[in-house]
Amino acid sequence: MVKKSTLTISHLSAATQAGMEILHDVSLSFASSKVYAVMGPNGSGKSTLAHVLMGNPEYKIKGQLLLNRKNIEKLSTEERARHGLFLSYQSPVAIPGVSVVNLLRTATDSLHGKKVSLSHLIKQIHTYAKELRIDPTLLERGIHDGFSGGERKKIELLQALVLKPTFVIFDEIDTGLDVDALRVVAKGINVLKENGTGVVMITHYKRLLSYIPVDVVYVLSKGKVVKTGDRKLVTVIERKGYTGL
Amino acid sequence: MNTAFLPHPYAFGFHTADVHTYKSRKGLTQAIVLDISFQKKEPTWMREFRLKSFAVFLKKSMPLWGPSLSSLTFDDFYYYLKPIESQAATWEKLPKDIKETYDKIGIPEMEKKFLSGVSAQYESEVVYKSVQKTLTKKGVIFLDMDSAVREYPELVRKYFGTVIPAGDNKFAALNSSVWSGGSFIYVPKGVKVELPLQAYFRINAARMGQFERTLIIADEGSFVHYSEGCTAPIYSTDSLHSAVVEIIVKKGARVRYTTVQNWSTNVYNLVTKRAWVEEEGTMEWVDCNLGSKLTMKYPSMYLVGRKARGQVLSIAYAGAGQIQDAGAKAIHIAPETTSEIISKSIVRDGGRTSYRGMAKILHGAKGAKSRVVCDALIIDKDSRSDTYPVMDIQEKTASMEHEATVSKISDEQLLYLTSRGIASKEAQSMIANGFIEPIVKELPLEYAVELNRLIRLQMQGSVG
Amino acid sequence: MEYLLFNEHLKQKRYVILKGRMLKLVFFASAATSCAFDLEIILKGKDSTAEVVGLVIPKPNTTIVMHTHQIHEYSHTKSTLLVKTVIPDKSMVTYEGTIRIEKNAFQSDAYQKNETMLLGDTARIHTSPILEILNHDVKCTHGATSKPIPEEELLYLQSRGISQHQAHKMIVRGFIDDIVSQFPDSNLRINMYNDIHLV
Repeated sequence: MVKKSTLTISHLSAATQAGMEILHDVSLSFASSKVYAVMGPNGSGKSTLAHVLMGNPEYKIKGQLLLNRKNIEKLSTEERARHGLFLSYQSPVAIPGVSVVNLLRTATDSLHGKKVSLSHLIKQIHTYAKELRIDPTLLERGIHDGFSGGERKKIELLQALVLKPTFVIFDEIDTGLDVDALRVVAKGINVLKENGTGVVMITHYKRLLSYIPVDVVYVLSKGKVVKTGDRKLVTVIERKGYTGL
Repeated sequence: MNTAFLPHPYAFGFHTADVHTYKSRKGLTQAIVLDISFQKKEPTWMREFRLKSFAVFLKKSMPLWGPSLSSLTFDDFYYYLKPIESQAATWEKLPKDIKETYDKIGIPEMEKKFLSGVSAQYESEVVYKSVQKTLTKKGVIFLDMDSAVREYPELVRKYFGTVIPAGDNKFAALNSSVWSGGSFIYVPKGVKVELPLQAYFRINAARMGQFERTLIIADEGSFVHYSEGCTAPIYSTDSLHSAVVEIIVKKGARVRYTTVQNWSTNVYNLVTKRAWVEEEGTMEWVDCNLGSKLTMKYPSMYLVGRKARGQVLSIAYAGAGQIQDAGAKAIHIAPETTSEIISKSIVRDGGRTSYRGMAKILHGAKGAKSRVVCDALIIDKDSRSDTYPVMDIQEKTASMEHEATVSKISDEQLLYLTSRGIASKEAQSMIANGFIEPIVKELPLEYAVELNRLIRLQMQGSVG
Repeated sequence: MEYLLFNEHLKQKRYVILKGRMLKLVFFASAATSCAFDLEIILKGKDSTAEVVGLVIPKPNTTIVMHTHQIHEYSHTKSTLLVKTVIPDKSMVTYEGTIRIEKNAFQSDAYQKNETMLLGDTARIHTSPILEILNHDVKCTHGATSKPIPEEELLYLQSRGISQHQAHKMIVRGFIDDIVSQFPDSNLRINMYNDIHLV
């Protein structure tokens, strides 16, 4: 069971290395066992937020990131992962010859410091893969190498289920999924939340949100937080669009 | 060093006549060539072959292309007969990094001692004897080249030097003059040898001679897989290794030849390997070059019969002070022949890899197909990777495809793996191993496991 | 857009592209007798780019030796080169295309492709794409192909009542079209189409 954790973004501004500002003075907070939706039109900086949280070196930042009230802005990507952050990428890169099984085994070794039983891990992977309706042959192939959009999203979710992080950020996990896949993914995300993970869903459609009860909705526009609300806000956006806010 | 106690790779029944060493003066003269032949008690025709080859060697100039061989002076070497490679006589004398590698890639204790030449015995005699019994029942001939010359003269003489004549290049001429050791394999019609030959000799095979000569004849419809070498680094005091491998694949036969080479970085490794493939025959070269100071090796196939097939899978790894100049050659002479060359190289720490290849389709090779994929991964800024492929197509109905890519480890891939909590160096070695995976999966399992670990070690900078 | 004709023996052309500049070049190599040509593209300034396409069509009974060089001396440079060759009977093209990325030319991107169509029984292509890469932080790809006239395409056209000879011509013309169409001089274009002699 994951103990109660908090992830706080405090007055965060982010710019590209060349100096283009994408996020301006963003303050958000997240807690474990809750589901958050971060919404906004294209170009609002939502994806950048996800990357900045994981410490992507392409961005320079000002402000603070606090995990359980400890600053993590200076930590490297792998250190943040070890502290319990997980990002499900919008367009995950393909790594030929490196299978998801290999990746999960190595990651679990890194995260837990000692060797976890391999057979137990493999069983877990296959169990989750089955629930997510992932073709088992994909598990041994180079990760994301030639996988369809939907398959990639599911493989990202599979990793989150196996690694059991404290906070998961899903960057547009709903794009590229058909109705059946959407249902299966939603189930997986609910499992994460039930087990105590703080779930942050970055999306600009309501599609996935109709399957997952959302606790808090944050709306970003042009790099700033413009509105905060509960799940009713989703319906308002659906009817009036972002400009109606 | 008293080599009488060092086990001869063929000690278990192959041949014992040349376990003693024969020392000569430095350098190579006709008298020395004659002496070598005399010590081996060879028939006249082989002695003549050596002499003719030596004459060619003297006349031939060094190759005008490729890395510089200017520091090679033939007069500096001893061309005496030795049963096996000279090794460190005691565990202590073995270079530290080699000892560490043995530990880290998990070579069993017994094999460690044997590899280093410390142990006098290797208890595979029982295994060896039972495998030989099975082979003999099937009519398969598998013995060291020296013995084969004496015991199967007609068969050897028919094929020896036909695929690679002494005049082919200076090093083939050298080998043809002073060769010693190597394997002779004959597989009769329709016989399929399931166990990779040399597999149980994996450790013995690592201690290869300087000028090995191997000849494999796969008669119609047969199959054999021969493997040599070792992923563990082999320390050698000899700095020139020049082997010749000739393979004849007859109609419908299939031969796979796997080499994993990891010589210490004082070695020049210049090898000529070629297969002659007849109708519907298949030749598969799996070539891994990990060690040596300089390797020049281009496994070739001459596709002379209709529908003959050839494949080369090549991995080259070059670290500090190393040059891997490797590649492949496919010559299509007959119609409907196909060739595929896949080369993957990794270079770091100022090393250098070069792919040198040729795909030639002669007029008349109707419908021939050739495909070359050659990828290079340069890890850091001091290293260098080159490709020098040549495609010569003289048949309008043939198709040829060649593609080469050079890149570094992608930042995106690194970021992805580190975002899963994996340390940066570990992530780099995962990506490097993933890069060579399509070829590694064709290696016998023990090689594959050790190779992955070795790459991991070298990527993390813990060795060499 | 620059246009270049290689039509006399030993013609050499070198382009030096300075910081931030771009070169777009189309060339055509063909001559009455056997010839050797050399094209050098040097990216001599950060953020310079070159996009080059070319056509090499020897006349029957001639040989063309074509050398191209893409040399990246500065960082963040980009070059692409596509050379198509169509070789009639008794003719030969020897093509050597070098991409060289110097030590300090990090973040460079270089691409080269040579596509060949052999038209006669004694047509011959000798192609050698060369990569010399001295910096690791780059992206470099080269490729070469030689493909026969696709049987299915021939049959398809014939099934529409077109003669085999005509179908051949159409397919070869289709192969070189994208490059020929970039030359503004219509007479030159007509000559280029006429240069394709079929067996």
